[in-house]
Amino acid sequence: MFRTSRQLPILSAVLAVCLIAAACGDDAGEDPADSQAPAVSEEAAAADTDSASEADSTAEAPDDADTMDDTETPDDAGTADDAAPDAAEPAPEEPKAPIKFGAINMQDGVIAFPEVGESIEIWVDYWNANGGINGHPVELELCTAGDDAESALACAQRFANDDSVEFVYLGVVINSAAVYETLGPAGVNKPMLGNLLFDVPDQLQPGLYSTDPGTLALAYEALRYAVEEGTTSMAVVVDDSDVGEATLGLVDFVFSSLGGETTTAVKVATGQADFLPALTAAGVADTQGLILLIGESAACQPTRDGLEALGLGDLPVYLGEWCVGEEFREAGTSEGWRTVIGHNGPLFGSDPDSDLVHQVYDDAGAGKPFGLILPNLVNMDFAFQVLEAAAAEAGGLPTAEQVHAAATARPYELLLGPTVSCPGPGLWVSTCNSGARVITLEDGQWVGLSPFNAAPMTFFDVLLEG
Amino acid sequence: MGPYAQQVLLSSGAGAIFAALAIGLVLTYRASGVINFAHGAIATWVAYTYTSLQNDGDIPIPPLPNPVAPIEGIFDVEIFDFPTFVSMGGPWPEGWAVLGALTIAALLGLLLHFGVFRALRYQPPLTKVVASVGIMLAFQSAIVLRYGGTRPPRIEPIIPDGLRTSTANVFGSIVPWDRFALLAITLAMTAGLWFLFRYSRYGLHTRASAENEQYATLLGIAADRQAALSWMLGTVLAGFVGILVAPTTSLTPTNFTLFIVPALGAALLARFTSFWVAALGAVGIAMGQNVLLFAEIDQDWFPSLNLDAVLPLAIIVGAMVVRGEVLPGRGAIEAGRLPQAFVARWRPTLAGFWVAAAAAVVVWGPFDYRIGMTNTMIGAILVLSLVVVTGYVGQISLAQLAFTGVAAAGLAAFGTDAGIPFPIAPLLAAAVATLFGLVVALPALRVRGASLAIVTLAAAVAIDQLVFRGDGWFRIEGVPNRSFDDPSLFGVEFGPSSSFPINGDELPTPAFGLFVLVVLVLLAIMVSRLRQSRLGEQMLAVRANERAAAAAGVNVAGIKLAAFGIAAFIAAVAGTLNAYKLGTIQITNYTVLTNLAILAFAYLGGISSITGALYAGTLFSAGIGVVVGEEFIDLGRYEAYVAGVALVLTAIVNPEGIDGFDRAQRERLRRWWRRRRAAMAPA
Repeated sequence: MFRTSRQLPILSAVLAVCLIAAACGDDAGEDPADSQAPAVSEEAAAADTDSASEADSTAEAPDDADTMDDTETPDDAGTADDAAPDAAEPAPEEPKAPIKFGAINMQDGVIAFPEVGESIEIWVDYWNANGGINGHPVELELCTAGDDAESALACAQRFANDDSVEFVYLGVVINSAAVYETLGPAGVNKPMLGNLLFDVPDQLQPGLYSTDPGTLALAYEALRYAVEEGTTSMAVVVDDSDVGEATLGLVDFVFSSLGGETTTAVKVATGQADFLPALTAAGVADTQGLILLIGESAACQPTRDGLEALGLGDLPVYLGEWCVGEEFREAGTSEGWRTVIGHNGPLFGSDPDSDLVHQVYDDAGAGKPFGLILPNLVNMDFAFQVLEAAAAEAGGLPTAEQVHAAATARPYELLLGPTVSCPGPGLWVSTCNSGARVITLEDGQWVGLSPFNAAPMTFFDVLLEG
Repeated sequence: MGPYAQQVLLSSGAGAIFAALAIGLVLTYRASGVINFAHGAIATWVAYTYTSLQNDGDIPIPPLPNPVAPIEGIFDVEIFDFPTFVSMGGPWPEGWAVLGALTIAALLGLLLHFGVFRALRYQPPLTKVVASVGIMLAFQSAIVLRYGGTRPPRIEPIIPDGLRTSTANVFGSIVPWDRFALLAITLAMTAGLWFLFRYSRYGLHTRASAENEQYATLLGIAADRQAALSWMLGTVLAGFVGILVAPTTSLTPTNFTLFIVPALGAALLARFTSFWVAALGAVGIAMGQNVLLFAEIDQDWFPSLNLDAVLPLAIIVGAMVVRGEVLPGRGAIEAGRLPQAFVARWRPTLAGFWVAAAAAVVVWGPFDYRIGMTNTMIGAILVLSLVVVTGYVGQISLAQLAFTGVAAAGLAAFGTDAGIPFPIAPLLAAAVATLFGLVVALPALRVRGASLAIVTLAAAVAIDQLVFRGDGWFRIEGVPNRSFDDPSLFGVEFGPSSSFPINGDELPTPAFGLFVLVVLVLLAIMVSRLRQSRLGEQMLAVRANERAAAAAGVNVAGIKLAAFGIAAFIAAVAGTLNAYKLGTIQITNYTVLTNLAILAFAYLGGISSITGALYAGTLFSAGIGVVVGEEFIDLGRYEAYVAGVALVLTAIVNPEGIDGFDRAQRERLRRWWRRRRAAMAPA
């Protein structure tokens, strides 16, 4: 290929430079996150000082900071407008200082959630377009973490060092232990808002306030509902991970205490070649139901195929929301399965919150929100309400202590349904919401099967023994 | 029929998948002497291409170099807007989509041969391993860039619905027909390859080339064309497997890459020669895994040790013991050599300058640079372990990250849980990791080259499954976060949050960075001394020629064990430092396949020298090189892709790594200067 030794380094250098430089120009604009850029720029929002200052004047009492449940139409929707301007009041005041919204999300790497980062950007723009937080424009500083611990830690330390960042929002951060260590009470004690509680330790972090019920509460509601609908024997398939390991004992413990019985538990390794042997080993043919705790979308279709191959297509399957999405709805993958969720996200079209979410996404030209975007939006709304209350209390930019105080001051009714209260019960301090509900896909439409039911979190303390 | 027999029958699907990948690996190896770690990633790319063609009528285009990007960057204009997909005019019917995807697979095979592996014919196995790892990383990243990483695309099965929805009742066990169909297709492909290699002119020529490429060329066989054909066949096979089995396995950027471990085990069992042994071995592995998995559930007495995941290692080690020694060599393979292992010249002024510069960055540098320097130094220490075991002794190890995990878990057990103070706790942890290194070294006494890479990768899987996920002191998974106190000695703390007179209120404080710098300097001096010692000379003798070394009285086995032990110790030191840096321990930090990337970065830096380790350290995640690079060009989501492509380019054009390139340029400059001085000197 290369004939002289001189050509080789030159050519390689040229290629390397071009390739590296490609990141600047080639298709950055076609990155899903880029192409679906938010409709409203931060500059525009910051310039909207009128509405900002007006909003400030009316949002003094935290309790008045209403929820998006009251939203009537997208245009006048949301808490920003609820804290909204009195039209008669004259406005021009000094623009308020921006609130720095430090956020960390896994955007890079083979396991990445760029759609969650995009939803953070869209929602911040939506706030800014509607007056910011208590009149303060929101300045988003999204720190990109990869699927490695180093980058997540670097983001945490960056925000720990930055005195202008008083709190940190977590989108999806799987390598979170070092982040908690740095930002939590053991470190700089800055409030952490958000994150999805995939793992048991995520649910025990002081200083972290999340509206995600976490795997345990979701599993509890699934099992409770199963018993309620008469499923008393259940096979369990979990993934071979921290969550799976932690959940296995819990499922057995909880289900038996609810009057059910787990028959067999099977651990399935990541990237299992074929689910059929595992499903057979789990003895699904001899049970009334299957609880599927493999937290990845790649497990959905193989599970459906495996069950149908065994002639068990109608077997009640209880699972989390990783099989919620347009592709699975269209393919009928999740048809009839009992999906447990901590919000009303998939029930689009049935309430004003869903309309609002759709509208904001449509305005941003970002397509339909799916998967983890939905619980992230609930976390975003929680962050908004907490910050709004903290800013009102502070009468300016809130401090870390004021954000902590606001997060724990009162219950919050949130976008897409849940009512949350921080800190969580007992040791489960970061689990501000233990409420979950069961939905199902019926003839291609998501319908609710149960209302929100709160899991008794202290019931799970037994898991922490030893 | 009993449940165990049923599990055996149900293994046909997974067995077919492993078998199809295994015969592809054998084919590529027989044709070109390459153990293609990228085989699964290629299968995935082609399967994604199939879904794009069928769902949207698009062909994905991997990110391409933009020749005018610097101009675009400087002037903030967009001249080129490269497409990410090429539209082929709406969704394609299933058959045409398969054909289209396989055509692309064939072209990919040609590109890989002519663009990459032909240039590496005379390079050592390590270079080929690195190139294939680079290709794997590039394809995985390209898939994430084009399709995202978390949502599987909709994929239409090519196996007829009739087979997919109907089941066979085999002595009371229900098995879907499509699993048998998968197995039958795989066995038919195996038979086809066997026939092709045994009876066709192509097979005869390929076998001749494999035996001795030079003689084959003298006989008029176009070995190069044979290899190109084989690469095409290999990638088409991989692509077909991807399309065939993706509906069963679902499609993610990594799952086929994960299947490579059992497939490699089967291929090794077949000594990368026999298609039948590879295929049947793979089916056997799948059956064994399912039976072990079921036994864990079914029998109370059966240990819950994730033995199913460890089975490939057992098979690989078993194959090594029974069949022994090395892979069948190809004449061309033997010609290559590893990068030169230079003796580090002690230049106090220069060394002092760099140490002072590093210290200055750690103390006064901006946040990104400070943290980047610390990451670089820990990465460099980890790569130093590879300098010893691979650079000096020529043993490819893909288990170094596992040793860091053992050390971190050990630190948690001894330090956090048992309350043993610093520095005893980290030293104990490193000692345990060293023991693990010695155990992993045992297969190295019988195997070398790329096959050792597979053995050590399997060992990393075993450590992950048995140690990190098993019950015991060193368990990481499922254990609530265990935090590490800052290390301290004689009342002086030097952890990431320890106080320091300058910049002491910023994380990480300079105290930890300086501590890491001291450890790095000490270890670099140690490795440098090792290189100059008698042990170092013996190591190089083993690297050059084991038989000659043995004939000269070198204890080859002892040298290998020593190298693995020392390397594991150094990796463990990196592991404990990393644990202190992170302040906690999580199993996601020790993903098995990351070992491949570490080896690749080490190679990119220069795997045979201390300077190379320092270069490699700069390239690590959030390392100083990445930080500086991002000052000028924000690679963002393209970082992993660019790293993969850079690895391939390095393997092709600069197998000595950055350090080798740097030395060559300095030498060239020196020669030029001498010539110039000579020319200017009075006659």
